[in-house]
Amino acid sequence: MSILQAPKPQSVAAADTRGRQVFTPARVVVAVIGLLISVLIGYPLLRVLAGIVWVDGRLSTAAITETLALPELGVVLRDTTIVVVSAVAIALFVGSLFAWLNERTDARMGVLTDVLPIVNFLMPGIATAVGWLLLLSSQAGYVNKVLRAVLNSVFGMDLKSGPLSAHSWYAVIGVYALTLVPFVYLVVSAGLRNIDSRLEEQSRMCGAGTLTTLRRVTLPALRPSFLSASFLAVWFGFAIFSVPVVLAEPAGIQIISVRIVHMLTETYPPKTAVAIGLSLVILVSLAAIWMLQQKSIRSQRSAMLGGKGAGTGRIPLGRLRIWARLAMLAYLIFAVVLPLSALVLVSFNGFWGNIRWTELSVAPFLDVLSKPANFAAVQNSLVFALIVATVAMLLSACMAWAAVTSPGRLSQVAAAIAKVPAAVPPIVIGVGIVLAVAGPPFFLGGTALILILGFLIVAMPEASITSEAAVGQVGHELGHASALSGASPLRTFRSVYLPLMMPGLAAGWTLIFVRIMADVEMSVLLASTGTPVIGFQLLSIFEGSGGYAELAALALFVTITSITMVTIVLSTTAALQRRRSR
Amino acid sequence: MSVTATTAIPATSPDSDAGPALSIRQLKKVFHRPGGQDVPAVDDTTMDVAKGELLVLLGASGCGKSTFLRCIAGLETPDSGVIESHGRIWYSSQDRMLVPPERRDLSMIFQSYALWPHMTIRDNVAYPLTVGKKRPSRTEIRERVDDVLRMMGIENLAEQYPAQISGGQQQRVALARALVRGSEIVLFDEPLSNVDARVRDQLRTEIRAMQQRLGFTAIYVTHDQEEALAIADRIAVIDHGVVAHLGTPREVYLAPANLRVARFVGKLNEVDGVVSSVEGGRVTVRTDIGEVVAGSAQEGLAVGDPAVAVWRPDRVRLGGGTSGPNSWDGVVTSSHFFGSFTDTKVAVAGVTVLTWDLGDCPQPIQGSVRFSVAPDDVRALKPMP
Repeated sequence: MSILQAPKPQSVAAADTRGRQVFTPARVVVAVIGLLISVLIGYPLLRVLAGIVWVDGRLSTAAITETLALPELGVVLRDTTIVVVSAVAIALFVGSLFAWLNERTDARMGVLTDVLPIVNFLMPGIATAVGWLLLLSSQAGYVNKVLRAVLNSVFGMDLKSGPLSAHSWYAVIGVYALTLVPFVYLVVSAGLRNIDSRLEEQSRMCGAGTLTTLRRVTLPALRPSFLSASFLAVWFGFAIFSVPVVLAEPAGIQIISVRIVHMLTETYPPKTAVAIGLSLVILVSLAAIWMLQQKSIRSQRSAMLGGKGAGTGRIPLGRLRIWARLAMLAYLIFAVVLPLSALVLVSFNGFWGNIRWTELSVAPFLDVLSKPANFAAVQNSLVFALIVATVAMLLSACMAWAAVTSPGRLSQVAAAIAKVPAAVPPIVIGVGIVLAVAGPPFFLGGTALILILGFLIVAMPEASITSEAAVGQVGHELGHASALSGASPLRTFRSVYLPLMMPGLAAGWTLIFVRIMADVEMSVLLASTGTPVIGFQLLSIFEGSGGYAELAALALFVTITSITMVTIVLSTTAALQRRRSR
Repeated sequence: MSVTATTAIPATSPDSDAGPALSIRQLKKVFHRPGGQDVPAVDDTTMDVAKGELLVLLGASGCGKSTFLRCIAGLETPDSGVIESHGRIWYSSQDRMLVPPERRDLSMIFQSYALWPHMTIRDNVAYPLTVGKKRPSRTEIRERVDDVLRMMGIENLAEQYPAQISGGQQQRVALARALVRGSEIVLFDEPLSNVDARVRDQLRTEIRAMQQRLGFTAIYVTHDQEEALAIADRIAVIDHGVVAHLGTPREVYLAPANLRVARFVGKLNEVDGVVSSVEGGRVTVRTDIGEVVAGSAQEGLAVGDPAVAVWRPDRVRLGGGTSGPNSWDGVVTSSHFFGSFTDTKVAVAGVTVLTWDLGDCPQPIQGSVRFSVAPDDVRALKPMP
């Protein structure tokens, strides 16, 4: 590559007709990484789409006809809709209420409030699901045991099992809702922060009470936020796999994501056509909801409302404050404390049954982890998470930097493609990867590489978004000042951009690491007994021979890793910021 | 600040003394608005900047002065034209040459200071010495950084981080960083608009003193006409991407090229009329307040042309028994004491004339007053289209 050489008048530099440089390092980075990302993401997704008309090497409508002929199709669609819609409705109410309580009233509770939006990163879905299984199972579930003890002794009842069940509509919808609340909370509280609180104060000055103001001013202004929150929650509702596989499937509640996986993994030969057909059902539903959201946002002006939120006076709740706080505390207990306690008790007891409080120890937990199959899974997950988080952040950091230093259509397209996987549930991407590279000519099925590719694809949107945010925080002039000091573009990246982007990149890295450690969706489709990962191992234990202690121990390990990583990164970046501005 | 400290900053020594420090030929840069509209930010600009000169680019915001500066820096790629420094081509659309900013050997001071928040003040200032092709030894870097910090009076801040010091101090660090490499050309992009008025005056004086002492060539962008007049060797008034006037502060202030420049550079008295005679350099304009004799005129004004007679308020003499040309009797409509001068408005035949005099005694309102302005202080200009 001929970058501009010493500024001799005769030297003809690589430039286009208007004298612009063609081969700047930034442009080369954009081109190479952009191409890589496009192929990596585009190929499997196109493979799914092509699969609709191209089955087993020839043109066919099997994907559609076989899917429509599926006897349980109606039930699957009905059950999935019931669960997703009810859970989203509950999450929308609870999440919005918490957002309003925290942003506008005096019910805030310091650190506990800050934990609310990151609950899902501390407590992965699979851990919550297993935790609630251990709590609500009709025979041995801890909650049921406590309830039975109370009901039998106080009310003289004679219950042998129940009264609650983990494999029930309310358990499934409840746990779905628990995992959806943080999404709603994040979006709505951001919306509230963007609505000038003076708008609400003005309403109260006009004589409207708190509730009237909420109804007439705040809620209408929040409509766009509610729409985005619903969309995000529905999207995630469709994508969740670990909750339905652990709680819904045994209850006979048929959820579409579980069906897709079963078509590919539990039948032989795999019913690829039907898996594609069902994936298409998800994609079409999401597209429809997305269009609805876009139309709805365009048709109203409330999105324009407000300026900067001026965090002025909070509404005093008076006697209601304690109840508001209890409600938020209850959420945290249901979402984190109870399931985590169940995991700890079972893992440290070594079995699921009557707790022997005096004999709790770390030994059974470590025993489980050191079993060869589990150990291999843990080791693989750690290695893959490490590799993928690092590669994804490195690629996206380079891309984001190149897009800033050399903006153009090329970088815009690459940045857009990097975010495409966010719009497609991991299960569907997994199906695409299986179709694309598991068989001939690549034969990557069951290898470590196919897992790394899969994880990398689902990690790209997160990596790309956090990197762009990190670059965005570095003012352009800081980079210009370095170039004018005589530093080469790469030196500018190394000495100015990279260190300043580091806190953001570290946060992105952690999110990806934690997500891969806790992944079930990709793992169940791409891993094998040859290269197991935690998610794969968890499901094999659940559906196979293993015991609940093993299940709990693996889920607990994932949770501990998540909590540790998130805490370390959050506290070190905060400490670094403090040092520079003290 | 002490400007007597000894310094190890190398005197600027260009590789060759061929040609001016900067030579710009027919430079063009057009921005394409999303609506499809083209906005020329730099429109066919040609100028030379002499070695050791301080040239101010003055203009309203959005006039293209910053884009022009950024083209010189290499941060913006022009559409066509030539930029040359001492005979070395930095940009030439014809030869398809473009030297990136890091190879241009110039320094720039940004409005936002652009100090790297993760480096100490010492590391910020040392940076330009540690990244180039020719890197001095560690001890030399340390000496040069210490010298420039001492010169800027901020040696005690060396180990602090930028977020820990004040705006004025940050500006000094930015200046130190720009000077440490001994670049021959230093670009200033509205460097003082973020500091408060008192610090601004002081820093402006320091920048000028430093520039004269070290002898670097400076191009200084500002929208503040007072700052421009105070600091410049020459001022280029930029208007819609075009250099409307290039001249010394005195020329720009007293003999502006056109009415727009005249208005931009300072307060102005304007009286509309028609040219009644042109004799030698003198132009007489017939107006509502009588004949106004102008000692100079915009090129191309002929008898019968519409014209505007303009003069600065500080050139008006109040009171006294002057009779000659350009003397009028008027009625005082307002008079305010502003500390260093008194601002008085006088009405004559429906025209309000603004006057500034150094007296500290406001005129009685509605009182009658005689005032005059010397023909040499009046200029006849074409009206704005």
